[in-house]
Amino acid sequence: MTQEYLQDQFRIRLKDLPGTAAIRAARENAMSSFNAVGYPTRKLEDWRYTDLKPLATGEFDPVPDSPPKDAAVRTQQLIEELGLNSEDSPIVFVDGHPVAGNQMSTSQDGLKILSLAEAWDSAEEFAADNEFNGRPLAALNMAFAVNGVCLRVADGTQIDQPIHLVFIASERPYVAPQPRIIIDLGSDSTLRIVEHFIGKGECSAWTNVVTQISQQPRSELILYRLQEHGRAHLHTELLTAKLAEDAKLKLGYLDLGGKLVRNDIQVDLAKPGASCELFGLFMPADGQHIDNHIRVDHTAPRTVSHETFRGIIGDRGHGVFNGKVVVHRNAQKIDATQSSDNLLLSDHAEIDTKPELEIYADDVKCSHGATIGQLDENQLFYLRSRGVDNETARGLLTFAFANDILQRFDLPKLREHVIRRVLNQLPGRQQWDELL
Amino acid sequence: MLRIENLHVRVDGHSILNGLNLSVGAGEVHAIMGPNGSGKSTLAQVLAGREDYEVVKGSITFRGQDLLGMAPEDRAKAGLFLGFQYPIEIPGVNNTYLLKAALNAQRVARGEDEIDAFEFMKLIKGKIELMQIPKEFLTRGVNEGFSGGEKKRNEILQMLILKPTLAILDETDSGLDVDALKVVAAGMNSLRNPDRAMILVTHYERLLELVVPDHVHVLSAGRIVKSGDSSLAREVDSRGYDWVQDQASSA
Repeated sequence: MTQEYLQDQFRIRLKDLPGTAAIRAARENAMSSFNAVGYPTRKLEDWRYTDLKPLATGEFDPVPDSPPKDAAVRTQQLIEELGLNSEDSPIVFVDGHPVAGNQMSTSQDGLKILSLAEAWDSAEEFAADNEFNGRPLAALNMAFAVNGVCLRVADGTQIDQPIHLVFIASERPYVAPQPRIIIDLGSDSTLRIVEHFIGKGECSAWTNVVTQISQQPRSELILYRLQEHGRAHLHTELLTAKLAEDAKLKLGYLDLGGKLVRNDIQVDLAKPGASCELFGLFMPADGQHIDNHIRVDHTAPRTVSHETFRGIIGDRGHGVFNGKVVVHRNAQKIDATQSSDNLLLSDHAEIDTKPELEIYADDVKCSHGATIGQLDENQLFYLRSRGVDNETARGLLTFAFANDILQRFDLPKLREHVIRRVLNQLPGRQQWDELL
Repeated sequence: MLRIENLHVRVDGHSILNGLNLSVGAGEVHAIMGPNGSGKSTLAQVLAGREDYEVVKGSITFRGQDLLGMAPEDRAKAGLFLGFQYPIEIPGVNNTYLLKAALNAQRVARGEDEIDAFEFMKLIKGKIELMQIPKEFLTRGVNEGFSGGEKKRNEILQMLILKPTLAILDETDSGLDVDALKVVAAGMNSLRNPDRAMILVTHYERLLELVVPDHVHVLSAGRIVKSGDSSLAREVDSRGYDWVQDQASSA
């Protein structure tokens, strides 16, 4: 989508997009902030390894129509494949549109779920920022977002049942949904969310997501974000989180699909005692490019962050990890660790990893490290000497490397699902049930 | 069962084995002794199929098959087992999983059904008692966090589960205290029978008092310089390797 095309689309579609006058103004602002800079190019340090040309030159529709009725059966199938049933009451979107029968707008005690369209039409207040200066892709999401989910947990409320958000890409080519997810946690509340992006089609399409998290004191959020798009899909996202005193955030990322994937994660540990744990596994295989860009700001003293990311890169796949930890002036007593471990499965596989630390305080405990390696020949030989064939031995060792991350997804059904999906991508004949 | 003829092996450009000959028949236990650097471990690794060892000359036949033409996993499936001098740690691959995968690979190769879970657990239970391995070890990663002695006992456990036709045990006795040595030796002896053979690679004679070999060979500079019965091991123990080497060079 060229800039001119987007500009035209915006003029034509704006009147049909949801939202009050204030939201409309925010959309216009966002569009002009995108126009001011355009798509990020590789000349920018943050985009050195990722080329967005496929976005700029593709013919996408940023405001896709509702999917045809016959997509419903297919949708149901996909949901079942995820191991979700009606008890899980997943909230499902297809090409950015909510599917009929979703459990939205049914607020149980202390939990309010609204569709984004409802929230924006009714001027419901959320803590989310609507300005995205300097973040052009998120600005596009603001300009064109048709729908999404807003969740709010009241003070002191514990939500036991995990919330499953499923975003399905239909097999229609060139759609470019812009889903938006807003999560507000009141003080002393807890919530678990799974954001699941999935699609089977081999057609070119683009998902551009924005997730905004705001956590009040002592709240605890676990969010698992799984991306299993088809191999021709483009996926870009921004997740921002702002944490108040003693709030805890756990983020788990899994990236298996997509042709071009860029995940931007920005966590602000804004008040003393806030802590976050970020982990992720990404597995770009032939022709896939997966870029994780993370920034954690230790704005306040006594804040803690732990990042553990692993990449498994096969064939001509390309992985990127860029993690920046910034310790602000006067933010003392910081504990920050960061690790990026990568496994290259072929001579043509490529990884660019760059853990960074910027420290402006003196009483801090920070560490970071990156490793890049291949499968261990001694371990391979040991397994083979026990009769395990070469392919299976490779698969097993690759799985062992991935498993360190997979075990951290601590919802049993979800963990089983991610393990199966990862095993599916590995060579050899593992006896699955025993690896679970 | 095993016939090694005129074996020459190079590692990183250095000649390690220089014309080694050895014949092992069914039911026999052979001990290979020798000082550090004599080529004992190289022989063990070459037999198991380690790829970074370059076989320059010679042949190895195992039960009528050309062993050198076989991949490591095919050698294992054909009934060959190497007990590693330094067993490898594989975090993330469960010990039981490996035991079962290894056993099933052999069963499938022999045209048998895979073992069912119940039968397998029954099999394992008896063997871990014999090897005095705590049950918790089974759910840990392969050799992960095991002490030196535990790793060696785990090697013998694997051997007892796989019941190889030919076991090559590379310095399984090194680093073991007296009690652990007895456990390991009991494991080895439990497997001795007229259809199986064993090659014990060792520095020291003490294992050979517990697992008495039929033949003892002394390796020096990549060749067998002296062979004899179990009394040779005791002689080497009291007189040292220099005595054998001197004898060999004067002969």
